[in-house]
Amino acid sequence: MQPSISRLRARTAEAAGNAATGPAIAPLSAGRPWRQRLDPMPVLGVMATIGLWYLASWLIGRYMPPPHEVFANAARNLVASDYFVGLGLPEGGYLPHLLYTSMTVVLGVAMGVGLGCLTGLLSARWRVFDQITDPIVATFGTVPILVAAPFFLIWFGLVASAQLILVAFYTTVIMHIYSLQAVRNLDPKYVEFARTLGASSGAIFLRVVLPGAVPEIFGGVRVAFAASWGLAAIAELLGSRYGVGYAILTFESVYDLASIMTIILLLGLIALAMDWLIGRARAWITRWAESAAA
Amino acid sequence: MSGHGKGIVVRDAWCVFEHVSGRKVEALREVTLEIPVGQFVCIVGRSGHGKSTFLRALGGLNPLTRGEVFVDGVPVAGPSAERGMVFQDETVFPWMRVRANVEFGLRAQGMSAAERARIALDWLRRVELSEFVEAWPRELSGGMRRRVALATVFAGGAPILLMDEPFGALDYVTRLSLHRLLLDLWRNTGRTIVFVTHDIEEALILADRILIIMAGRVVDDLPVALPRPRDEEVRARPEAVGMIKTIMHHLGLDALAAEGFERAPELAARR
Repeated sequence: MQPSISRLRARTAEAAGNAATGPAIAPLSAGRPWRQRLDPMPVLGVMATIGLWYLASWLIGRYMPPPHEVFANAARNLVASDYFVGLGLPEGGYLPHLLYTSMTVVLGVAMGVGLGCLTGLLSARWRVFDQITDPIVATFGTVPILVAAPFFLIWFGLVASAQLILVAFYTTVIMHIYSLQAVRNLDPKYVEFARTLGASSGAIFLRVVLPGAVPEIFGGVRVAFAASWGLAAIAELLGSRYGVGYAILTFESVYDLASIMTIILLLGLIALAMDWLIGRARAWITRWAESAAA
Repeated sequence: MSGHGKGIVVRDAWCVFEHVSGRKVEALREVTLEIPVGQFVCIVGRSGHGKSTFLRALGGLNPLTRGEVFVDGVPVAGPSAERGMVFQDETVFPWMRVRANVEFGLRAQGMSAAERARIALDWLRRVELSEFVEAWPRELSGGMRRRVALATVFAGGAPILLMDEPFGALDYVTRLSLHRLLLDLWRNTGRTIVFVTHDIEEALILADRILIIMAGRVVDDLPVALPRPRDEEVRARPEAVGMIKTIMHHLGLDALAAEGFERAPELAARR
């Protein structure tokens, strides 16, 4: 779950390589590249997954509930469940836990994106700022979540949602690195061209540096979201009275594997939907770029 | 002191870089020259011999180690909207539509939206891109993107335009049509143009005057008195051929021409 910083750096560098080669010739009828066609391959992938799941369930037996049992569980307990109340969970089935964790992730990522982009862009603009923040990010960004989580619970558990702060913290680190690299990877020719056209440094930042960095920043947002579902759930496992992690802990205590799998599946679906939304937003905002459907 | 008067005046310009190895590289050495208003100057020379450094120095993008550049008597201290620049690679912002690109410089000058649009549309018409006003740059061909860049710098109103091999990466036919376009724009606006190229033919088609830069020095300064348009017939005249020979000589290519590539070092090494 811990996003490795070196891997992030490598990925942004790769993105820069792609950007440098740039679009050569694009068809004039490119139309609306942010609209996606439905591919038959993902459907095939889903079917293969369900097939393997049945196979595993048949081989393992009791401790690997088959797909239809999990789907039935989801349908039965999604918005209301007496059974959950019996376990001491709040009324309302899976929904309140899913909403709680989703809110943690969305708010945490939003906070982290804002803060991380701010520090990243400031670092790109002023060397001194980078020199100050770089060791901080390098040190705290590499602390594993399982080590960091107890501290966050102790520090913030009483005053706010420790899970929220944790997600915001890791997102800040990711976005700091991504936005800094995004600006550094921008071809300096663009800034020079803008200067020879008489643009002020403020205008250059707003109309050249920022839009030029947006595609890579979106890459960071995607990575941050992907990591945050796990971060939030793990943080809830370690200490929370609500959310997906807490629910999993409760089901575990009564060996209810079907419910654990159900809630993980439901959270995964929400994560997938969120990723799709971000992908669409990115494709629309960076519709000027050729690889918009990436 | 010189440096007064109109046009560009370069006085004893030196530009020394520290190479990564610690070796000092003199990219420009004691360059002194004047470029009057409205002249079309081409700079030729081998790659890595200081052409781009000189152009960037004129643009105020490279600080000089010694010496000065004056424009209309005022020393150049940095980039300004008075000196537009077209770079070798794409100088089109891919995240702006074609019209927004052309309007970029005008917007920086604080012009009203209506005025900006009027000027941008006018320049896009002059570079024959009226149908692509709302297109994204990626939807255009390489040659069309150069037209956008030309429209942008001409619309910006800079009296001096500095171009660093702007058509270098284009195919022959596209390049010829852009030459014609650029000459039209130049004739109709009277801007001063300094144009770096590695292509002798291109220099002969475009220039009033050809400067040859080798090892950081201006080693020759050739006025081109050939009549325009400089079609193949004009370029085949004895005085044009003589000029090509002179340039080849300065570039160290005369031996290659005379002895049938025998002494071309790259080829000799390969044998």
